[in-house]
Amino acid sequence: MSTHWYIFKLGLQNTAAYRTNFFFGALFNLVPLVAAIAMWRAIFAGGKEVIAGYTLAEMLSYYLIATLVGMTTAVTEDEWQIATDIKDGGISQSLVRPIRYFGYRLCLFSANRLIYTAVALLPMAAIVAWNFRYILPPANLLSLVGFVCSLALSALLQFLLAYLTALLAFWVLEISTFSFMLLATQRLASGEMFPLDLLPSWLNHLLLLTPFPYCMFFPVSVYMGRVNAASLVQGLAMQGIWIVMLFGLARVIWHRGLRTYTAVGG
Amino acid sequence: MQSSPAIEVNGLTRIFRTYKKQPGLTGALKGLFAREYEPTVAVNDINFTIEQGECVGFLGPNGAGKTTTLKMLAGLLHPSAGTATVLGFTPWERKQEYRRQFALLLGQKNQLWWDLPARESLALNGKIYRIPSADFTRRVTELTELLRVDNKLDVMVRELSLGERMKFELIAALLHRPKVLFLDEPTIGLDVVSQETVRDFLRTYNRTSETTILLTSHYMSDIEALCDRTIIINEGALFFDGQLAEIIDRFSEYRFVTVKLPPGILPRIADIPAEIMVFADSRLRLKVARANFILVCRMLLDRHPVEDLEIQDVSAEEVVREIFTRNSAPHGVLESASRPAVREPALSPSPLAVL
Repeated sequence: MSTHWYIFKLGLQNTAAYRTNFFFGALFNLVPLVAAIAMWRAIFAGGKEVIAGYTLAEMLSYYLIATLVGMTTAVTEDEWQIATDIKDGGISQSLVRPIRYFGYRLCLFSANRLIYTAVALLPMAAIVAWNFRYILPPANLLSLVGFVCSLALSALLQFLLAYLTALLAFWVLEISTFSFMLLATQRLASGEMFPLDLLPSWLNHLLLLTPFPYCMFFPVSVYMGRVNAASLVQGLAMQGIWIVMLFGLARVIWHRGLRTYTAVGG
Repeated sequence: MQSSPAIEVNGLTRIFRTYKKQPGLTGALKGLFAREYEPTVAVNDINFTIEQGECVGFLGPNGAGKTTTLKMLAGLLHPSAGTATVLGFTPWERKQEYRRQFALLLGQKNQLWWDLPARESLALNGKIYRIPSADFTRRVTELTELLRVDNKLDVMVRELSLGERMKFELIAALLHRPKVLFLDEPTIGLDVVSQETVRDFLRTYNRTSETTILLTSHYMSDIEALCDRTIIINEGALFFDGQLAEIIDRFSEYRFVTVKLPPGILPRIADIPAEIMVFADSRLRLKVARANFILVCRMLLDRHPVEDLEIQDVSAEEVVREIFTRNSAPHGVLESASRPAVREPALSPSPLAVL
């Protein structure tokens, strides 16, 4: 444990060196949020009170909470760093020392997220201030607790998806295409671009069988109290199941990859 | 079993499949569908045993299979055939107990965190290897003082010189007192002073800590300075295993003999079984086959009022270079007389006008 804690602390220090970088990254990541807010304000200005079950306040809250979820849980640099470690032989250092690469990366990911969130909070606060009268607090205590739990699981889930994509670097020279495919799918299917209940219900139900809605749509819905107790438990269970399955898959692929790695020379 | 060898290697073989690209665009297109692979033998049936506390140098030209062998022993590569045991472990199983007891230092890859002071990377290794903190502090002080980088602990790694970085890499690798240390090109790219410091340090460390060291280098001087024993591999095969000095005895067939004659005396050497390299300023330099060495010396001394006589062996480096430049000479061929002459090391031969 103390090793992982130390890696986390080193990760914080290391990432802090890139805080300016992070700040501008975070700033420009908020551009789509501003666009979405402006768009929904215009749509609701047309006269409708409720669209697809969302009031204007709910809709804007959805995007703000979704952005918060993205800030704290999305994978940014890690995927590319892992792929580079594999390609350039950086993982050798984990293979010869008594340390596991997955745990090592997970600590760094956590540190990354913490710094990123801290840095992004500033511009985020400005947007919150701009829309202050629309922001809804968590529906109730259960929503808040459920939200925090689902947020943590969402981070783990997204890390695993990115980790799996990065492991392709054992076989392909350039993972950016796959990385982009994952990102595009995630954007659409996780509810980052719009709440998934705007979709036809059959499609929504279909998506709920994939891991993507559990990366964003689910935690946001929990926060907003749109998920009842039974669905909350079910959703958390789904997150757990996906995490276990993807972790198992990551282990298998890691060992397969190592076989290739140790075959070609680290 | 109290003194079992630290490293035992039996028939270790490594064959790589390298992708063979056809020339040109058509070739590239073909390669997309049906790749042709060509087996390359990187390490071929190598055998050796290294006792605990030995310092052994792995010598060979680029691509000889040095690093491949080292990586197999560190568990980073699976062999295609053969076995190896290090400290009783099969390296490529990568057991945690094994990883706690050895260290691998790859000259061109680093484990230090680029954007943090070296102290942090060392501390991380302290945690990873679960070194008690008092022990850790003592060890860092001791090692940084020995390598003279104790004032650099708080400098960002990226601001360190190449030599300082290598020294910290070494320290990071030694903190947990590994029983076996694999060093791949530990002095590559270092300036002469740093090379010397690292060498001195390793020599002392090996003597005092009883750590088994296996190092690769293509600098002969590293190995000459550090290792009692040298293993030469060439083209993947074990070529020589023994003391460096033996290489001269075994593989060099020539000596250089220089005699100084009084001014005005011309050498009478038409029938001497030796090759004349140079005759200038009353100095005659001959290249003599070892078998004829005594005979030639006697002839020279009998026939001339020799003022001075100097005998020079071909340097080990010269011999090894000679071995490497001749491609894949099988063991037997070396001893045969068909072997081309060893290049003359010091003076460049000038045409002889006298005889």
